[in-house]
Amino acid sequence: MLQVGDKIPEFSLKDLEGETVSNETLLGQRSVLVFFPAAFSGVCSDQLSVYQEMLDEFEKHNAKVYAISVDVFHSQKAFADQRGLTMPLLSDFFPQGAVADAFGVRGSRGASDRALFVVEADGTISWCFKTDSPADMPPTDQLFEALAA
Amino acid sequence: MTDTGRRSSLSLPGPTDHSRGNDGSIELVFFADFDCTFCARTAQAIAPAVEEGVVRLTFRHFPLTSAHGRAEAAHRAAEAADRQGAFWDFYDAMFKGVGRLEDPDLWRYAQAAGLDLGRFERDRRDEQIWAAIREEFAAAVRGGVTGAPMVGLKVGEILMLEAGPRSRAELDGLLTTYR
Repeated sequence: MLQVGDKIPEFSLKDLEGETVSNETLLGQRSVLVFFPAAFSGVCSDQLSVYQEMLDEFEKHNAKVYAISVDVFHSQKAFADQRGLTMPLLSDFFPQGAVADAFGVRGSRGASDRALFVVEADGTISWCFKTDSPADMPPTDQLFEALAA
Repeated sequence: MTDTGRRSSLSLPGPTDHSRGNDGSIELVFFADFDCTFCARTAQAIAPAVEEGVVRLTFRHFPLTSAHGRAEAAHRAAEAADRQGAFWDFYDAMFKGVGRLEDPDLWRYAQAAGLDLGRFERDRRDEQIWAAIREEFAAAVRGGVTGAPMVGLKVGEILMLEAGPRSRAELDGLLTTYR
């Protein structure tokens, strides 16, 4: 797993609008990359719903949230529609999990681990966290403390 | 959600919170969405312990509006009812009637609580009410709440966060752990 101080790797994914989001897209802005295992799983649904409700708070910290999973586009689209998610969802479906691999957060069953990266405007990781189990939630208090630092 | 027993930086129950139950009993803070069946199940697990004087219950708003279509209306209604002293009437009615949170349902709960309906209608549209609910939600997330239902049990001067108990037996297990 990439660590604090590392630069993010090169990557390029599409969001649900078909727009490309790459490592270069993130330059010049602060970002929170949310790797989640699977659309429609209970824990992922809760996690992204909470972040959806907190988008204003992320914005206060000048941070833009991107959620990434190995799900195919259609699955992510249905998930976003059902849960009312407006943040960009990025499909790491093909080559499957390549971006999760690049960040070192690919789980043993093919999906990504549940992991968060705060990426500063120069592409440097300033905070990161991976849960021990996909059933666990990353600590929101530590995330917002990191954003406030 | 299995990440339990987490120390939080959440504020302890205070005079501005909605609380009920005996002083001196175990303090439990319930983070919940009125439009959530899992939260309703936790509410049912907690209720007898409050009646028995085992738990003092504090409620904090945790509406997931993007996922639950009537969450905003329900939480606004509870705060509007609070302005007429009927917060807990709405808490009980909405958790018993989860899934029945349309406007006619809310009016029925208001009538049952003896509220001034005109005032209730004005108050639940007051944006100050919604701003306060949103701030309570954000404070909960900043303090470590990761979803709903969750509970915080007061241990000394901190709240220990746990997933919302699904039964009285699970609640009793938590109370034994933190007693």
